[in-house]
Amino acid sequence: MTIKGNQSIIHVAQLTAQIVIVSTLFTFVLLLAERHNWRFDFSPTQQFHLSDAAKKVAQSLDTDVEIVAFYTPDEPGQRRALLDTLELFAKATPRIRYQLVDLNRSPAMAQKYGVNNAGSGVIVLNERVQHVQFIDEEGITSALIRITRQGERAVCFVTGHGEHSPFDTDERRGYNEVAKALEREGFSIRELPLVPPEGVPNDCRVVVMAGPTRDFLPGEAESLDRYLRGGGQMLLLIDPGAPPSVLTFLERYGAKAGNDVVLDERNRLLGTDASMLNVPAFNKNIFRTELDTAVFPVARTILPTEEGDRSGRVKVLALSSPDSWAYVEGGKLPDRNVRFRRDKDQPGPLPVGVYIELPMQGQATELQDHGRLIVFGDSDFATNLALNWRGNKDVFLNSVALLAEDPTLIAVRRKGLPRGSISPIYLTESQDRVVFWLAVVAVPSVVALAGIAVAAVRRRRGSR
Amino acid sequence: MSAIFTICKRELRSYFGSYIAYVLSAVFLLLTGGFFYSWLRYFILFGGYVLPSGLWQQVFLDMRYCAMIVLPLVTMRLFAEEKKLGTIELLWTYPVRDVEIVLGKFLAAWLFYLFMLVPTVVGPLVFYQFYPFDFGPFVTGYVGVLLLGTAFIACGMFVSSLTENQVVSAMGTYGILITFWYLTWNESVASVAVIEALLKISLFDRFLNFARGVVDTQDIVFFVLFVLYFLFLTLASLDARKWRGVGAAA
Repeated sequence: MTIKGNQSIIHVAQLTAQIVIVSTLFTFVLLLAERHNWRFDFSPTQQFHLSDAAKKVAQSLDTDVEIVAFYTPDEPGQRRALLDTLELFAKATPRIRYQLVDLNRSPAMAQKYGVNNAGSGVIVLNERVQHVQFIDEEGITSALIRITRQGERAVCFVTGHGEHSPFDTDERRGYNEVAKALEREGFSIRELPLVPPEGVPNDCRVVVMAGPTRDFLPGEAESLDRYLRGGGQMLLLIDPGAPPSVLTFLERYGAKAGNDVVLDERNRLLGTDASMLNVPAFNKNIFRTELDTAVFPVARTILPTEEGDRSGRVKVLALSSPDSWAYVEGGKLPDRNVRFRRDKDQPGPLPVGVYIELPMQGQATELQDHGRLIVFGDSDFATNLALNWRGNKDVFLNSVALLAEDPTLIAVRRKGLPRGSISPIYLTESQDRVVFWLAVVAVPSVVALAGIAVAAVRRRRGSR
Repeated sequence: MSAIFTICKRELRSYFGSYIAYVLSAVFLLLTGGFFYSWLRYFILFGGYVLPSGLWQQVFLDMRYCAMIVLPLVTMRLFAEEKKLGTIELLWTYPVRDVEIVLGKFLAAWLFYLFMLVPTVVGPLVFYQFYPFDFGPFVTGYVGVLLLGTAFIACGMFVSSLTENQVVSAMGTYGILITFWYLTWNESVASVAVIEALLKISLFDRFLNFARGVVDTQDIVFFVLFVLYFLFLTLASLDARKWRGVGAAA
């Protein structure tokens, strides 16, 4: 072999050794980086952190649970998404372990737990198995609540007076999104067409009456009154134009619905009128947490009466902004370009929600155990359309959790959107045109024109 | 150090002296602008079903396609053209080290990528004037696209150093990148353990976090190592001329 040939062999050997050493070193560094990593979550929904509510539920576990999640490789990214969620729960508490199972490869496992769909799974606690339809934060939290808490907790929606129904899927009227959210938090949903004269059913932890448009039938108000004074819990949402018997019913408890519509010209949402009320402040002493601004479409005031004020049992829960005012025209809706009328209207801030504690029958003074009533001057804020606007969902769910006396759930929930909901972005036609012309036309055109200029200059130089 | 900048300047002059660079940039900006605008319209018109990080996730997932289409065309000429024209021999006669040549060319391609990337913020910034959005995932998305593009450039430069045919260089780069991209495309053909391992080196999987608004130090380390590894391979490829006898006189 020639000297040159020997040198080539040495060179190849050196190069191979270098590649092996560098590859090994890089693999080692990569493994080290995997073990000692820091993660920074800049997502608007903080989806790589558990919400306070989910964390509280996970950390309140006093027994070990195992989450078995099923995926199929056919759905790109599904395994990764499940893993992200499960790791968050496992990090929150050592009580939670998990395993990811390929649905196609482990049919026996799927059959054992009765799981047919990828993306779903089960939570196993001793012998008990709780199905989770969607393995996401809300699904797991809800299942953890169900499996660890005994007994059914029902939220009963009264619907026989034109109220919003929890089974109605209509975008503008329906309440089925809020019902689903309640179910995810471990409540079951019941519909009561009318308030039974013999009394509210025992399993109704909270009664919701959302936007009645027709009067109570004889005996219904009395039945509800007995329920409340016997320690019952009720969420009452009264829109402008609500029937007189509902207003009279409220007055029994030291609060009064104003015969008005609350308007806010300055803080209205873009593209909407002043009746789309921005509610910036909620009483955090009662909710025990800071709530985001909510949007009440067409709301009325709910004010403590003198007696309610004096008793101290009626507390303001939600307040409109100082820029708002109550348009007092017998509950009639205003025209589009309405202005504050000094002689007629009430200036803001105004209460649009109150929290009322009632003494039990026979307990005139001591509030040892009491019925409670939360009243808001609007019911549309929790419809399928409006539920995800700003803090609307938190306001509704926290009200129910407060009434149901479930401190675990009284927390700010995940910001952002649950499965199947919408996320509105508003732009006007002219704004849309500006974005289009600048992003799609102007910027590439400027660069293309620069190219044409360069080509022209080069050609001219070349021709000289 | 000055040799790196001299080579970088020479490369940039070559990029911007030709209208091809402007055509590539214009196409890149048209595609990214089009994707951004169409996703924006989608969100406005249909509200958008649950997209955890929303608009930006979709925009950045599309932007990486644009980077992947354009960058191999930017890097294909780095060494291949010089080899074809014979100017590489001339370069080797200068008193510059291989590492300076590699870094100079790499820096030039990277600056060219930056030149393409920066104007893409115009659309989102105009949109911000009308609809203030959360800057977090927007910024992380750009960090991700920048790191991903840098990885593409390093890979493209390595392939370009292997051949004197620019088409082969571009196609070779596409091949490698798509392999690294879709390592886990068909998960069902591999065992769970293999998938776990492949995920660690999947460009797609590493980029996903940035697009979702998450910065994980292990992803940054991965991209940095990916770039360093291909720069090292480029150097090794240039070094091979010594034992193959190509340009040995240098």
